[in-house]
Amino acid sequence: MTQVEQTISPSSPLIQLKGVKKAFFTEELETHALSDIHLEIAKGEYVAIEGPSGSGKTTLLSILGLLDTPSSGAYRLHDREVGSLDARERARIRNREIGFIFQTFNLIGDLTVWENVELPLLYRGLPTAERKRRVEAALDRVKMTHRKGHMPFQLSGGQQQRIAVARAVAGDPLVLFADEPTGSLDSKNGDTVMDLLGELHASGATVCIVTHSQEYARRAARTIHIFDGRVVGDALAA
Amino acid sequence: MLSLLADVRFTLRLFRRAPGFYATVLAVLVCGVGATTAMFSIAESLLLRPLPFPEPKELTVLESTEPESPHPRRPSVSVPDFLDWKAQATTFAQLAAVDHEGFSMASAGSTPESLSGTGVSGDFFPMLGIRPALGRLIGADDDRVGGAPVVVVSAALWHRRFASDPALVGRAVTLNGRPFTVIGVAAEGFEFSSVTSKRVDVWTPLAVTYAGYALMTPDERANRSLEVMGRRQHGVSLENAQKQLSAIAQNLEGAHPDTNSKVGVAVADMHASIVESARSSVFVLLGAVALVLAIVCANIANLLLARAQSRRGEMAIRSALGAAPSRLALQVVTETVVIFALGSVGGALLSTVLVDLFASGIDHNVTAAITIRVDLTALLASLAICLLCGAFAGLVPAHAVTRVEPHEILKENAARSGVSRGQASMRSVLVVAQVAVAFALLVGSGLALKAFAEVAATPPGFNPTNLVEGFVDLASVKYEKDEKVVTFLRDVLAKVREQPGVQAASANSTLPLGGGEDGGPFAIEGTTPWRVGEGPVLGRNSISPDYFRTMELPILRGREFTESDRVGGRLVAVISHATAERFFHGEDPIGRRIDWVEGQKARSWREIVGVVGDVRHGGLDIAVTPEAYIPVAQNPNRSMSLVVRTANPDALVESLPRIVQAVDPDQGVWRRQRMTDVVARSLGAQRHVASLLGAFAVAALVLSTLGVFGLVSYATAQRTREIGIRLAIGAMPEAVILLVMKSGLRLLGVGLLLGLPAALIVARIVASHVPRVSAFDPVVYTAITVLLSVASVAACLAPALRAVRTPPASAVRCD
Repeated sequence: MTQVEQTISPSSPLIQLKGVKKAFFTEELETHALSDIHLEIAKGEYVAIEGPSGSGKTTLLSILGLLDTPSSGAYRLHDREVGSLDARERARIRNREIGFIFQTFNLIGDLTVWENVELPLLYRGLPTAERKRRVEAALDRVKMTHRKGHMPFQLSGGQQQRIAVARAVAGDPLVLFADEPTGSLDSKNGDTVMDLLGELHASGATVCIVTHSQEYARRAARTIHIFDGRVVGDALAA
Repeated sequence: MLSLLADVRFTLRLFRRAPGFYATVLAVLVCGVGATTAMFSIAESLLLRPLPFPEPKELTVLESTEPESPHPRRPSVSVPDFLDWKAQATTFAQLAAVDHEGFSMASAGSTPESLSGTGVSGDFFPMLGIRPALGRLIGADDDRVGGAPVVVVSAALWHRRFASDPALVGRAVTLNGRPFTVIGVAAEGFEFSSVTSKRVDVWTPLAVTYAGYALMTPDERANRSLEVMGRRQHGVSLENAQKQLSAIAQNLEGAHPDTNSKVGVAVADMHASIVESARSSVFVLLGAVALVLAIVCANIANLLLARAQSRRGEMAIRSALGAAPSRLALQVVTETVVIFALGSVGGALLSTVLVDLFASGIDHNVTAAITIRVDLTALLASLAICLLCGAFAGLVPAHAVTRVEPHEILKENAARSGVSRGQASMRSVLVVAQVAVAFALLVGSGLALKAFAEVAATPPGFNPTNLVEGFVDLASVKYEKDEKVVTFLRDVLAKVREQPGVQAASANSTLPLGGGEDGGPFAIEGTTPWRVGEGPVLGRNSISPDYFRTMELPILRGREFTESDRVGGRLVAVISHATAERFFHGEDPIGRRIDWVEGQKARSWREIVGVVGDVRHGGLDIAVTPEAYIPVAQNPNRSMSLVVRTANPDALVESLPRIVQAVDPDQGVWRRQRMTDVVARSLGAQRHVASLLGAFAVAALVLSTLGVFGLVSYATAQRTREIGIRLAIGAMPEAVILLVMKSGLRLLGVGLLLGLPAALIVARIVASHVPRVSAFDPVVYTAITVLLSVASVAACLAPALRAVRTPPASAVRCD
């Protein structure tokens, strides 16, 4: 994928969590969403994070995706400590090294398909021609070029999620995080999106998804089980 | 740059998506910026922009001072004094005198036109550096006794009356029955004559049109009617000019004790003198409009903050995709700047309309010298105001979006996520600020309005309803003989009385509340005369028979004048109640005799034959001054107001010129008006300030009420689920209403509390600039508190009622 990715030594994991904790403080209560998480994900892996509701999957994903910060512990991404970066630097890494796919697509309703896909590239400050090339390539990859002028509300759920995938991959990230990517889709569209993620992984992408579905979890090479904020299982697919 | 363009494009798209919201923001902004730009333009035009003459700082006004007279300082100078000053004042490069005169311009085949004219001395135009648009202007050669009657016309008159005829110069026009040769047209836009005068149409040489010019007699020296202005020598300060003029006045006092005892001279900057009457009101209104703008900013900041809150989901997506907090803030700021740029354009356009409205109450003498307009400086200031407002209103929501956490995107619906405590506090602070500022502004306006209402309720002493005035200036040569004046008035009034609906008609030389004055020191037969310069002044009003009935002035004792009170008969006078009280101390004045002291003239005692009620002359807010009436037949005056009580005032205003011209076809009626308008106009600046303050206060009330309404509505919407649960478990509707209203009323209470000290400050400022305002009027403070409270309760009630009407089930489902 990127030039940076190619320099990673095989022995060095792409993602490394050591003793990560996450606590939420309300007025009178301290809730531990994650406790003492140790985790490593290598480049090119396809990992599924499983667990019941409230187990801490989404919190783990938001920390992995630098959407949130751990209360304690260390998080190394691409051989660099990222757990304690300031908001600006975290935003820069999210923009350049991480791609997201969300359950509810999270396309911006006031932007066209093209503009939604272009948005992270615009934040990166890429020149117009380069943005155009990447957006066209990403839309082509998800077979949505013909819908580039449409607004999100004019698309079906499956189509919206394919646009979200295009947006996630347009910037050539180091890793793709997907939070219940099929949760808002029917089974046919869900399959299509999961096929797409499979294709991305096959072409070398590191993919990490959170899912309730055991069927979709089985498509990953490795499944991490979370329960009550702890990793209770970590197994490679048979 | 590309990102910026994308943000601008996105903002314009947002306008299309939420037109109602953005139209509201823009409307509030355009009104706020428009009013501020208009008010700033007026302040800039009057106070900051120099007079439109070369070296304007050298221009000076010279006034007579009489410390012990009722008018200690007035712009009235006698011809001999002016000529002495001019001969001796070496600190001045030029000294010019002017005398205002109404002209009736007759043209064959058309109605005589009444013109505003001024006799000017030879230095007038050179002193002001005015150039002619056509021909030449009046110079020293024209301004000599016995000189040719020549006239300079204004460019406006040239366009209007002479169709911009380039051959006008050299043609003769008839002014007041005399032929005058037009020698030139003044520069375009120049209609100035003095600091107290309205716009003028024609200028004539003073020495040619002023009858007593160059008569250095004591009578003429006591006759102070010229206005004098000058240009100081380059580098001479006002103080040095004052010193020299004071020394000259002192010498004149020694040389002419009968007329110049205790008469001094005061010099003042011309610009300051012109704008003096408007300065206070401009400052007060500028302050008021600034407060309105502050409320506008707080309101818009609150609206944008609410908008930013509803876009938390979008901002979380952008953040998740790698937009740094500063980038999100930049986007919000860009949106705000686009809004304010549009607001600035709209405000600038609106200000060009509002500037005329706001300036309409400014004295005409000010606008004769200074053109009030929105110029480049004002527009730049408007832009600066907009940027400042934009910075304030935009930074609040911009700061809010920097607090958006990207992990909110993983929530079920980020847009519905609760308001952060910080943002809720910020919105409350903005609403409290609006209430506080609105309270202060409402109190200030309330005090000014109350003072104005009290003045407006003061009876003028006569009944202005169904009373019409028409002013005639009998300056034509045909009225040189007194009997001609008396005959003209008698014939015109007879014709007026024949008109349908006319109940009574008469004439006077000093119209109540008309701004004119006549009179002077006087003596009472049988009492020790006051020393020269120390005696009181008695107003004098020459009137025709039937005057008191026409004006509905009560005759308290004795009788009024009749046709038998004519020249050659017994000299008589009617005095006012105030005169009787002040000078006769309860004794019956009927039969006593008085006379005005005029130079060395022998006494002509007048017998008092009646006492009438008091009339206010200077204004409804100015104390009654002693006055006496004399028959016009015994003291003919050529500047007379015809006063007519009629059932059809509008018809008479329309027909008056035809009635006058039926008696004298060459005579114009210089002014026609209803007396109710005269009374209203006498309130002048105070009415202007009070009405504009009232308008600004209403705007403040509406905006702050909207602020409370918006916040309570939003907070209630955020609590829909909670309210649903409360209702589901059996809460009574009134308990829910109270719950919703409590938050709004808490803001109101804090706002009022914080507004009180601000109101006291505003009240003191208003009291120091607006006459008769008491800064600590508990009635006003209480009334405004009640008004603001009622408005806020109403604002809270709507969302509260909406909340209790929500079915509990749907409220719970909304999450």
